[in-house]
Amino acid sequence: MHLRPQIREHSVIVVGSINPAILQPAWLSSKQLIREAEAHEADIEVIHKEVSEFDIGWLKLTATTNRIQLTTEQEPYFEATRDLMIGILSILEHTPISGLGINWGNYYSFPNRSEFDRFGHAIAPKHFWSELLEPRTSRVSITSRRKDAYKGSVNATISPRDRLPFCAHLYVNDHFDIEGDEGLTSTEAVARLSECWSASKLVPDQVANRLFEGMKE
Amino acid sequence: MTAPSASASQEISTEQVNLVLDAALDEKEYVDYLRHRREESTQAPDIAASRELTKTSCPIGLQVKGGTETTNLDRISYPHVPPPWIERSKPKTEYFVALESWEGTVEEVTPEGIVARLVPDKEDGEELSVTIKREEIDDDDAQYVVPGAVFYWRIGYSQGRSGRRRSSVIRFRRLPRWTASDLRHAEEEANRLYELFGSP
Repeated sequence: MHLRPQIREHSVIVVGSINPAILQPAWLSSKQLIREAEAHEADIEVIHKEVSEFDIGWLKLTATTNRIQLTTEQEPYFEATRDLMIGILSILEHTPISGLGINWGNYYSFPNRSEFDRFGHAIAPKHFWSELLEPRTSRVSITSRRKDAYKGSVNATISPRDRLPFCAHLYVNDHFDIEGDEGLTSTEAVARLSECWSASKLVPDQVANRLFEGMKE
Repeated sequence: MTAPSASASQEISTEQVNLVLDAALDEKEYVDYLRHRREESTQAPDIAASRELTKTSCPIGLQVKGGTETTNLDRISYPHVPPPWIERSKPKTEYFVALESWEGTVEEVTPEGIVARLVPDKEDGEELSVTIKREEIDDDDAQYVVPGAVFYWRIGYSQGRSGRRRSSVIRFRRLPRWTASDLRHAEEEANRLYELFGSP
């Protein structure tokens, strides 16, 4: 079976000492990181010295005093999401970064109930759970080592969702362990993100394809 | 921001709630918002946990279970008050499915548009040289339309409640401009390398 994701989502998260109040649509626009029209039309939930959260249509930004999260559900803007984080970190060049995560989410819609259930049973065979009454798969999480030289882990989780008919959601968290008290400089974080993003982007499809192939076995 | 202690009054002072924009919430709404977010705080720093999952349908095979939204407001300590109901952002009802994806580089700018080299997202795809009409490019991106500029082009369809429609999205790469400081550092680095290696 080969399924193409119906919806893809992507987020980039950095952990560090952040000033959320500065992260406003107007500021991003003034730095030419987003379009002026996007800043004008931003849907602002809150902007405060402790938290900033707004949506500019293709992107949602959430910032607190210790992290920035950029999230998009629009595939054409995956690169733009990465570039926006690179732009922010490049400007906030003296911000120490203690964590970095590149995350991907794919939503798959199975053609029917039977295939959906077959997939659930394939990734978590129920004969191991035969002592339980009607065992079902609610969430399967796998953690793995990174394939590159950096410390951290690649964590994949698959779970059902109700967003699409017979829908499974594959989530991949590409996590970097940042060692040392001082963490990374924002310049180093930009370099890390630039270097690893493209390879990271391939992971969810690779994982999904292997899972779907496994249904045949 | 000084965190109010658990024994403090449930009222949050004006200094503690310093809203920056008029468009933001008023004070009471903001306090409610913070309480709500804090109530939902979990340790998982991922977007999987930031999606609301409320239904428990799917009786066989896979089962939808509840999840919570993630935030980190641990530094803020409020007395426990049941949070008011606040509508969470709903998933978008329209989404884009890309059929073809390229990264493009502007090679030439003409009065009609641009000549660009396209590198496909697919590993087995072939590089293309194309002419893109100026009308395809957003006016806000006009300043980026110069030789060497990088853009991303997706062709696919938008799936919404009213069905599918073909869609093409071109987005030019936006990165911070070089500052005087950047240029000075680059020049210093160039001088250092010149001193190290000398002229060719």
